[in-house]
Amino acid sequence: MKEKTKSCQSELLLRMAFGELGFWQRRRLGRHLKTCDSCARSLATTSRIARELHGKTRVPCPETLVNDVWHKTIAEPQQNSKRAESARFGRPLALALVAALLLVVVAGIYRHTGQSPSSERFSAQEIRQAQEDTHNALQILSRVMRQNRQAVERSMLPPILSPLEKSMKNTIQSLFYGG
Amino acid sequence: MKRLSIIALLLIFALGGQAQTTDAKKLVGYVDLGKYFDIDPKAVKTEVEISNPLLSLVAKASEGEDEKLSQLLNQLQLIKVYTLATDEKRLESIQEKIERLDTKLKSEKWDRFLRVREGEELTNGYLRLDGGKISGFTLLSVDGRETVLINIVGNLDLESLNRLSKTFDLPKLDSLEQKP
Repeated sequence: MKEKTKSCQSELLLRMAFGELGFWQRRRLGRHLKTCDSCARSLATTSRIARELHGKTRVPCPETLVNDVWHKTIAEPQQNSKRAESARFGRPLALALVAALLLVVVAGIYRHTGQSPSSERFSAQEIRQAQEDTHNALQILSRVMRQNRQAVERSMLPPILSPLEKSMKNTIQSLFYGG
Repeated sequence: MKRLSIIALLLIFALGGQAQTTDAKKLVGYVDLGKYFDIDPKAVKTEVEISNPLLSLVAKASEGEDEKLSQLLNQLQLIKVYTLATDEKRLESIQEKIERLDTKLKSEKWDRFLRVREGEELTNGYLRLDGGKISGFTLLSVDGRETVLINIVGNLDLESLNRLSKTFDLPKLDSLEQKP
């Protein structure tokens, strides 16, 4: 508290020496100076420095110095505060991402165990109907293949096969030659 | 920052959900037959569309009855079949649509393995290979009475399909079997 009072007083004295105090502040400080030698001495010293400074020619401040002061006093503290903020939120975010990834992996494992989570969505009757439809679809496929068997045998298959890739040949040949 | 973390979480959950239920219609083996042929509902005799997860359940249900069929279906994402009544008026229009789709499919890296044109009958068969595996099978056939359009999405194992020939009376070309 004492330090603060001292600092307030020295600021007031400084502002008094440079003529920056208002009328009422000057009067109040003047009353105090009549009873306080220490402050009166400080004001005398500061006023002398102020007068000397006032008499000097003003030199423009080098831009590098302005930049240095700007970085030290404004820019760096701002960056530090941003870093501190990101550190504050970064950890929970990383944890949330890890948790989400874990859930996705668990869901994937659950799916590949064969316990399909969607099996409850279809009734047994719907599955039976789909089974019949699948048989029906494969029978239609087989009918079309059967209808075209002679034509494929007669002329189409060898010329078609020749330009195709080996893997394609194998799959088609397995269909027509038998497994 | 909090908002960002919430968005990231939602994105991850959305991607996770996407991974679990693959949309067959976004796969390279899918052909939108309904769109290309502008199918008249009155002409539809049969329409079958089975996709996952129902297809997986059918595969599971078939396990006890037919192991080979179950294995075949397990690799598939979608089976789509149309049979349409076709008369002389529609025949020409459907043949034109098949020819147009032929050009499109070939430009999209489908290989035509079957083409039969005899009189008014036209049949084209296509396979789409992706990384050495079959990812799509399409069969388009029309004659004076009927049109058959088939699209199967997924790794159609033709060897398994061939082994099912007895069940579904699929053809085996015996004369070709003699060749090396």
